[in-house]
Amino acid sequence: MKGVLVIGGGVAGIQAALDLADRGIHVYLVEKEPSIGGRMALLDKTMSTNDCSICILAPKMNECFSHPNIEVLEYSEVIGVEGKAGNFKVKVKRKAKYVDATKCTGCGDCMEKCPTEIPNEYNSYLDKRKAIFLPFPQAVPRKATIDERYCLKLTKNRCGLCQKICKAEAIDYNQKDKIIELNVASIIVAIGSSLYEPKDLVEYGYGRYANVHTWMEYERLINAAGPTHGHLKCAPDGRRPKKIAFIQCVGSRDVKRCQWCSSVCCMVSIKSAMLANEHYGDLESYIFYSDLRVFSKRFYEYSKRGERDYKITYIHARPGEIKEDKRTKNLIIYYEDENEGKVKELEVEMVILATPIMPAKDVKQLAEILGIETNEYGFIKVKDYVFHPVETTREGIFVAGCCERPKDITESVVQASAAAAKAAEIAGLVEG
Amino acid sequence: MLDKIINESKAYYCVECRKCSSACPVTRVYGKFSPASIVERALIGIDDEILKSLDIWKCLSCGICEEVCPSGVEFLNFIRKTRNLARKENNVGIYAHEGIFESLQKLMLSNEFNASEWLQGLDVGEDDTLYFAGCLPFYDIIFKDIGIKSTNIGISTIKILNSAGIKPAVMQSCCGHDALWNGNVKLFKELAKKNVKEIKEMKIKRIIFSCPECYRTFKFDYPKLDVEMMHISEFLEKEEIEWNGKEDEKTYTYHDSCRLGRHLGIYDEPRNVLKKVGIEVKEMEHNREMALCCGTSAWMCCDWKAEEMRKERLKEASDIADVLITSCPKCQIHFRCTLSHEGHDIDVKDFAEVVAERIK
Repeated sequence: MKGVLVIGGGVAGIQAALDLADRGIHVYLVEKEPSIGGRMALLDKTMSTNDCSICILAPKMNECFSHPNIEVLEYSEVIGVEGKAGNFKVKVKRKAKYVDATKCTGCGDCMEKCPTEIPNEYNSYLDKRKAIFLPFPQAVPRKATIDERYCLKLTKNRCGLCQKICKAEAIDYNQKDKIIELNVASIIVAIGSSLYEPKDLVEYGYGRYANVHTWMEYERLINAAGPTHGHLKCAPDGRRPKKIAFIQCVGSRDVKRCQWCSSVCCMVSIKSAMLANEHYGDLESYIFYSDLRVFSKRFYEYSKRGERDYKITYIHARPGEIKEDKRTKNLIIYYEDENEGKVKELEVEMVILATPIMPAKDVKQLAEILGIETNEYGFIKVKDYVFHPVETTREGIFVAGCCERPKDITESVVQASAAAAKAAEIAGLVEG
Repeated sequence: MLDKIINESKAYYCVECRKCSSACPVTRVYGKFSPASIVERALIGIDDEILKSLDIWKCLSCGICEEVCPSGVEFLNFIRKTRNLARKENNVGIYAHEGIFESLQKLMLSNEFNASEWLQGLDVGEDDTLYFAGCLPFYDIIFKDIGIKSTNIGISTIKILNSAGIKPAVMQSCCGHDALWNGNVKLFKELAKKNVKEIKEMKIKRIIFSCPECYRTFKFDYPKLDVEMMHISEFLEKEEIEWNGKEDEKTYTYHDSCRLGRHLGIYDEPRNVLKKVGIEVKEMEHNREMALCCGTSAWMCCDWKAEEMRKERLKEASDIADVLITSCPKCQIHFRCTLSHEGHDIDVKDFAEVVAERIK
């Protein structure tokens, strides 16, 4: 039996790969980052159950990596697809990591010695990482990668410290990119999403005011493995906040920006407010919402619990402006109270903007390679929302997770299992 | 009737998030005014109530509401058309200066009306470029008491054009901006018709404006004229101009007028030109898209609310600079009016005046 290619190693890709592998189908799991895990690996807690995100994902990441039927191709990209359903010939570029994976023990000595510091995309650029790095402590595979764009040895033929320090002799500056060819019966696309950068909503001062963050930055700030080790800190003096605010729909449900509802942000902000209160019992949160969309099972109760037990106040308004107190760096939020019909000011120490989930940055390029379509917003188009919700516009290629439209982890997993079932159907029909 | 306006301005897209009201500079000083409420009242369908209300005249049409509205409601379009409708029911708002400006606009319809003394001695009238000077000479007369010399903006603009080798034809006439925004569509159309006819006869290829209101009106509200149109800052940005090296110890800030900024999207050009003539603009807290309004538009409802807004803006400016550069003759008049009785340590100058002084 021919195998299945899963593109994207986030929670959707992992779920699809495991479902298929458990049925005895060989899976190639292609991930462009050096570790599988995707966005879920970077979240602090999951919403509605407040489970530690990486704690529930890490076992699945490891299971995926060690599964006899799954071949994880990390730090790789799909660059060509030919053929048709039942017989796809796929070209994959395995990018050089300049580290021999069979020797690297993931000890981290090299990262300590590396002199090059660059903004850390895995911590939402809030701190720095080295040119030789692990994306996050629980990375799978736990093997170092050299970022060839910044490594002094590779760019200027200087340094070479990592090679000197590595006891396992795993560093190999001569490694080259490799192109491999796969033959699969079907393909699942699960490449995830990108996030809106709210700099153009100048009224909220993101990028100008030190204490205004996006929700993803906040996920890293409240996370023990993040840049502040899970402590909320405010500029200018690093004090911890007592009053914070969340603003919903920043860039979403906006005719000039993202017209869609990002569907997870209301719950994410409630969760984030709960976490802050769990960290600091006297902390109060204010959530400015347009419509509180808490629609799934037990979501409404969750929002009520936030109000009752976690000092959350919900305010129905989109604030028109945030001003910064130049001295304290506190933020003054202007909003109209709908009951009194009056503009009010609320002073808080930190503001978190609920920015929307957007199509992945490379979605257009990949869609072209795969010969599938995207919809008017740039998400991957399905054949039919009602009866073919995981089928793309090309036979034999399926879709799961946020690259199809914004959704939460539960929904991504449901869609991934559905896509796996459909992909298995095709794999089962063809001889190997 | 209101239904048509609601449709045309997409007011029905309003999701009642009230973001517009919390950004509106009028609401900030006068809580009873709220763009969100005006739309809501119209949507509920109490026709008469909105059309009889003074609220529709308090709007500055500054456009911050549209800037922040996530639903794309065209509030300015809504307010303009509502005013037109309200006029028919004898709700005409409260004119500033006893309505003298509307009288002037009507007078300017006549071909006999001439105020071109200020052009004497200037190098004008031999080019296919037209400088549309708007109403400048009349402000000199009316606002003499607060030291206004708006014609200086015109003289500066002509000098700038001369230094670029252009001897522009000059036209001074009301573009109809104020009539249009005050709902007097009839008067606006008459003025537009007269201007268009005159310009077509002139056979010019380009119109340059120093007044953002004229530019906005020509660009968006006039029938299509087959000529190139630009603000003096856009013209200068493309020109190779040189600073004459004249220095002073002063610090400068720049006030984005509503029309040039939010209406026309011209933010970078004036700043880039000022840089070319040696001025490093210090930015006020509210700048560009979020710039505060000078407090009055179309000579309507100039009262304590306008005064409050001006004081706020002048404070922002005087906190960081010695000179406030404006790009609209009316902004300058409004700020100078407040400065004539309020102590803020700041001078107000027009963009064209500043550039003309510093250009080689």
